[in-house]
Amino acid sequence: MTPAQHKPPQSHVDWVALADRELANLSGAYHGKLTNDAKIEHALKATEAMLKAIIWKKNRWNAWPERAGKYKFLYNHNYEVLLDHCGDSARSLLKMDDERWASWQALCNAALKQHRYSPENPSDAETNAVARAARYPDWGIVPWLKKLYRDTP
Amino acid sequence: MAEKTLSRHALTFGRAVLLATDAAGMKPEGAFWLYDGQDGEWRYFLVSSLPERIGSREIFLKLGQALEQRLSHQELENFSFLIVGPNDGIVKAIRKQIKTKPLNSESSEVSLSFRGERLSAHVYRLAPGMDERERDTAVRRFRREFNELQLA
Repeated sequence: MTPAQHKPPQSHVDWVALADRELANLSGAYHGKLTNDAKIEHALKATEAMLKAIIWKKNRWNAWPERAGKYKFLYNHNYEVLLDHCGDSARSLLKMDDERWASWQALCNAALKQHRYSPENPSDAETNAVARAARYPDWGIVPWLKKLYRDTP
Repeated sequence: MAEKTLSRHALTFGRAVLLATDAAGMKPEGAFWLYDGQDGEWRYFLVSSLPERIGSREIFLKLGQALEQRLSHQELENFSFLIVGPNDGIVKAIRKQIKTKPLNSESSEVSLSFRGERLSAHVYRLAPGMDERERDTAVRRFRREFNELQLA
């Protein structure tokens, strides 16, 4: 059997589609009773995909840059740095709402822990907090990033 | 990459954040600055069992508002912090080098090995993790202090 081919996003629209898939996987992870680590991973991937969609659209790239020189930040999973490349006003807009800013901090925290600081298995409370921080319609980060994406010329 | 020195101002501010966090009822088990060579910056960490019970989002929300009331807006403008658990890998690695009393706030510099890298840290506090009863008490205290702050 031929293994499934992983096709990297070919455009900013593809990154948005990837974010949607990850959010759907996040919902599925609850129904399928997957591990808390898996739920957090889906929440983080959805967030990162939307950040990358905005950066691609804003820069009008033809292709996703290689991991070299000034583009290394695209591969470091540091959401703070990615946000700073989403436009001058992205951070200040995000900070205007305390609830949404707390969601952002929870996601950045989870991403850095996951990728650099070897967290222990997350509890249900922490997992649910991170999942809501990503997808909640009112103060979730992915819905907010989608709006920012639509507003990006 | 050559390591940047943590400024005296950052060291003092980190202690002020820890004391403000204590005053907000959180009383974290630990607090330290750690140098991240990948991003070339110092990061501030709070070590707490509370996220395990109530999730980190609620803590960021409430602690953020509490710090706004206790510290200057200008200093907090570019300040960010991480919350890690007492059993997370990075905390265990630092605990091998240093342990402190539960309410310590004086800093000590340590170097450690983590994932094959040599890292530097300035540690204000690294006390043992809470048991379940202490954690429940800490959650109640944190929420009560925050509610009182909202009413003030």
